[in-house]
Amino acid sequence: MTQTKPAHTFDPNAPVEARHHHEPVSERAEHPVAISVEGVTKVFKTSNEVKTVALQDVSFSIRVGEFVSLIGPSGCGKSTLLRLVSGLVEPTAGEISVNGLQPAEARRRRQFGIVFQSPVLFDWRTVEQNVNLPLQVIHENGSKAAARVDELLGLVGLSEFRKHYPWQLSGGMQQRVAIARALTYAPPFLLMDEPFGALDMITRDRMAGELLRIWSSTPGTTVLFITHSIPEAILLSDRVVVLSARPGRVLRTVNIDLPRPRNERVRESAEFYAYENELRRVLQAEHADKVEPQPTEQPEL
Amino acid sequence: MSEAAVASASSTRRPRLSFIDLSGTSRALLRGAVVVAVLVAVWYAAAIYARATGNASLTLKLPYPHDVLLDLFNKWSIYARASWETGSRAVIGFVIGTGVGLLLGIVMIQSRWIESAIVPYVLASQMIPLIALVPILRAILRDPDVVRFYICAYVTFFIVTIAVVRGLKNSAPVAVEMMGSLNASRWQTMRFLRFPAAVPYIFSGLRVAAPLSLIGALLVDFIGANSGLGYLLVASLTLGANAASTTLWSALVVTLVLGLVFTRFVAYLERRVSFWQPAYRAGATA
Amino acid sequence: MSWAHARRLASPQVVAPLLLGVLVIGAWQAGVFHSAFNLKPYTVPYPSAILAAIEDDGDHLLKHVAISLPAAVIGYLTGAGLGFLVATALVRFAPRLMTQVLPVISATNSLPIVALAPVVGLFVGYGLPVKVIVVAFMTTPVMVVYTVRGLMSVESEARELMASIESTPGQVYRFVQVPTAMPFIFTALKSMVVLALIGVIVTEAMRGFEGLGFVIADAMSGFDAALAWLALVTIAVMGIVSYLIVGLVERLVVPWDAASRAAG
Repeated sequence: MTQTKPAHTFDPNAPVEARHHHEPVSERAEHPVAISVEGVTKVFKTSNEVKTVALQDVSFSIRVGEFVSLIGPSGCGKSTLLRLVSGLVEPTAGEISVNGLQPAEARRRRQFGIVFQSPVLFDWRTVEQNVNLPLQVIHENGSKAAARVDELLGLVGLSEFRKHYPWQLSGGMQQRVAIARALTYAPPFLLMDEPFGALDMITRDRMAGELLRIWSSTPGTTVLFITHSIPEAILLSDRVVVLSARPGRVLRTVNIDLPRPRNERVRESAEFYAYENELRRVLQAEHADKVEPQPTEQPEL
Repeated sequence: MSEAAVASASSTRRPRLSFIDLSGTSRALLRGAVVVAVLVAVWYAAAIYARATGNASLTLKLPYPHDVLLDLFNKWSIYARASWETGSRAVIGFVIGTGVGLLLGIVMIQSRWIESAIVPYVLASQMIPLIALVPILRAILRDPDVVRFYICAYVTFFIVTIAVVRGLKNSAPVAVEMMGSLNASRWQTMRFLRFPAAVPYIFSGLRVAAPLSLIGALLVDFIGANSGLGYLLVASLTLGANAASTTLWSALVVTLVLGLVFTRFVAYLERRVSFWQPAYRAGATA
Repeated sequence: MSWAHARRLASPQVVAPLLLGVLVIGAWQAGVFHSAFNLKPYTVPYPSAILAAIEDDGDHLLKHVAISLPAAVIGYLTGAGLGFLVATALVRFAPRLMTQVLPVISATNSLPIVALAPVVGLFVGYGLPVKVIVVAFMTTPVMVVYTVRGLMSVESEARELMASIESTPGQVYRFVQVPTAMPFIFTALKSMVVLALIGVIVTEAMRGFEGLGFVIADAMSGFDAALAWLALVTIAVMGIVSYLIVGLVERLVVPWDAASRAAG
């Protein structure tokens, strides 16, 4: 059986082209649309006749090279949206296109690197064997594969730990291995599902900085990032899409017009503060909408 | 960088793949020595008491430990041959049963229909003493060696099958999704994820199956074989002389030692093969 | 409701095993296995002959069930009780000794303990006592190991909570440790069922003149295959029914665990 060659294969020798990420957002707005989600609804049939509407009429789009975050309360269908975009789940209604392809087709062409909340590393493989797994899947071995693994481990700063087993690493390091593995095919899309959600706050902040650094050295990579941390979304993103509680709907899309490259210092700026307040108000307003109407139904005695 | 420092401090303790974990082994050896010493002391006390009562038959039934040791030493070739007869058949049957169980388990999870057809029977087999089949197999197959192979393989295969099915199906859903995101084929997901993840389950099955397959081989010896450890045990009863009761005790000691060696070996293999299991981890930070 | 009910009945989980069972027994009755493996009816009787044996040998067999079953049950209960007591004593009064003793006890789990049967028989003969002793020997270590694991699996927060309300060690044991250990204890009780039957059958088949183990061995050597197979089926039914009874008791005693397992 011959494996069909994936359309997007990595090339470690490719020249590092223009660093999109350092352009202002307004310029990146000219880039072509990479992911478009239009009117997507997802209904889960839990059991006999019980249906849960996870997402309702969700629309947004992401341009090539953009970093977009989805935030919302837990259970709002953020993770479902990520699985829809990557073709792991089919929508009930609506259209999703990834570089003009159906999500499942894009996945078959290995366009996605996915990082989950848990690192999902295989305990029986060393760090380098874990990063090498995607190459093994496409029957890529030899010096080219070894060079790629070297490069990725260098990128996430774990070269010294290549012979370790995942359970010998801290949580933050494990997640860095997972990021390296997701980048193995040099995929055009990096999908991250609350990747730092299981880490403590201090590690989490450092990982956000790491991610920015890694992203800026993999030019052209489009990121869809799911989080429930408002500051994390602002720090990382070009755009933040706010989802409501179940059923998930898009409440607002906020452009984050902060200069890049960004670092921790940007958190101290007034603009950052303003964004944080704006997003918090959107989320709170939604909460108020849902809670406040109730008392009015019962007349006061 | 303190994060890296933490990990590198712990990394000086490499994963121990070797069986020779000195501190652990020496402690286990010491413990074993204490247990043996206590057992021997109790045995001596009982034997001395038996002789003090002046009850001749009790004295005959309960030889001194050193009598048994002497007997083992003098007739070592008999015990060695009997151990080989029973032990090697049990091990071969065990290996065959493991192989068949692995294959059947893998076949079963390929189809929901095959799986749901077989699973209830395999589950029920865990509640049934399969070794009750020994007398019947003995009548069908005649050759005691073949019966030993069959029964040991049979006992093992049921346990391994259920362990394989359980293990292969218990891969974390998110890990399966991850393989999906790599567009890995069904076979690749099996090879890289499902099968390695099932290894601990398989070994916990093997740990149960190992003593059972030895019991199966012993039972074959008990009823109608002319060789083997179980035969020695029963024959010494029927012959019933003084020397025979010593033989009984010697055969018992050899049987228990054989059982211990067999199950320890399975445990050793487990430690070697699935060293990454949480129970065996050395230097894990979590 | 009836539609969903019918659909569930028609699911592979129900249909497939029934289909397989009917297929195998049908093929057996039709002589497929006999001709394929050159089996003789006097070693492997047809299902109809086994059924017919119920009429002929049913009473005879019941007499032997009445010998084997009490031995298994008494040995099982002795093993369960003794195991629980030993585990409690170790955990409550000798935790230091426990860490040394537990590996030894769990090692005896993996020994062919039935080999003790002839030695025990030497002293107590081949009646009920030898079987009870052998079964107790086989089952006690299982109970000890699981109960200790259960009693020790109490979360430290729960311990601290109990300490904060000035509870005695006895209260911690009764209100926290024993309930926590219940699922573990039932896991042990379930795996002990088959061990008890194995102990009884091996002892009976080896020596003695009564009980189901004896019946199988004796009937086979007398070429009364139908009786031997009927005894085999009886043993299988005993095993499954006992297991189900333990499961039922578990459901009554630890409903919270059964529910969580059904959900997971």
